[in-house]
Amino acid sequence: MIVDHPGSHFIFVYNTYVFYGRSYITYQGRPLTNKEYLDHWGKWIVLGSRKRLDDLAAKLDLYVEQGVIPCIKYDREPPKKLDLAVKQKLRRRFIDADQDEAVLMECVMCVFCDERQREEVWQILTGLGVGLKAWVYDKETIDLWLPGGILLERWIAQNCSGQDEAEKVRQESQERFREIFKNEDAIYKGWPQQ
Amino acid sequence: MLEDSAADVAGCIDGLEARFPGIKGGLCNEEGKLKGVFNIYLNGENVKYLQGIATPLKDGDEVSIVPAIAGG
Repeated sequence: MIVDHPGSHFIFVYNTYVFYGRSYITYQGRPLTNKEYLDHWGKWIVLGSRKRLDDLAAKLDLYVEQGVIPCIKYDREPPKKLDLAVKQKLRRRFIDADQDEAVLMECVMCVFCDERQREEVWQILTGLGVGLKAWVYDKETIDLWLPGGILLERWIAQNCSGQDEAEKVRQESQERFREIFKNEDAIYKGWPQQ
Repeated sequence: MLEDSAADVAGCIDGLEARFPGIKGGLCNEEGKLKGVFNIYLNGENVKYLQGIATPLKDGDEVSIVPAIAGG
């Protein structure tokens, strides 16, 4: 099922069982623990125009509904260029925004799965014309959303009005991930994405 | 897409620099190590989980360079 809420940054493709409380973060039908999530969960990255990704999502929806591909999300639009004020804020955090802000000019699709089944999912993608082969573990993405990580610092620079608010967001991020992973044998719960 | 005959990822980067002067500075720091701005993949696997820029290449390998923020 393609889930397209205009207020969201992302368009999602879920199996309908998600709406009955079942997790899609599974391997061989079993939910992953926190440790398994960090060790094995990730995504194939697909770059393209919104139109291309819409067309691809429509084809991949069949595999999601069949339970072969756990979940997909993709950008509603490419990342916005950072304005000068935001870049200055990033430089104060020793983050050079010039190098990266201009190079991602396409939408990004993430095709999620456990890396132990990633080649099966890759065969589906390559059969639908995907050429770029790039696997990103979710633990890498988590690092980018921790304090000092480029994704969190970009969000803070774009959305927080002052230092106090920025520090609050950093502490909340640190605490969120600490809470999620303090028990590595617990079932991974995740966090809401908008 | 480009073809190259480099023996390793470092050689591949040097080959790109020869064709597109300045590109190496966007990928590597002054010590020749990869910056965090881009990720380099060999047949889909991030080379940081392999041997970094010393990762050897063989005929038929595919090297991809992707902005690190992709997939965030």
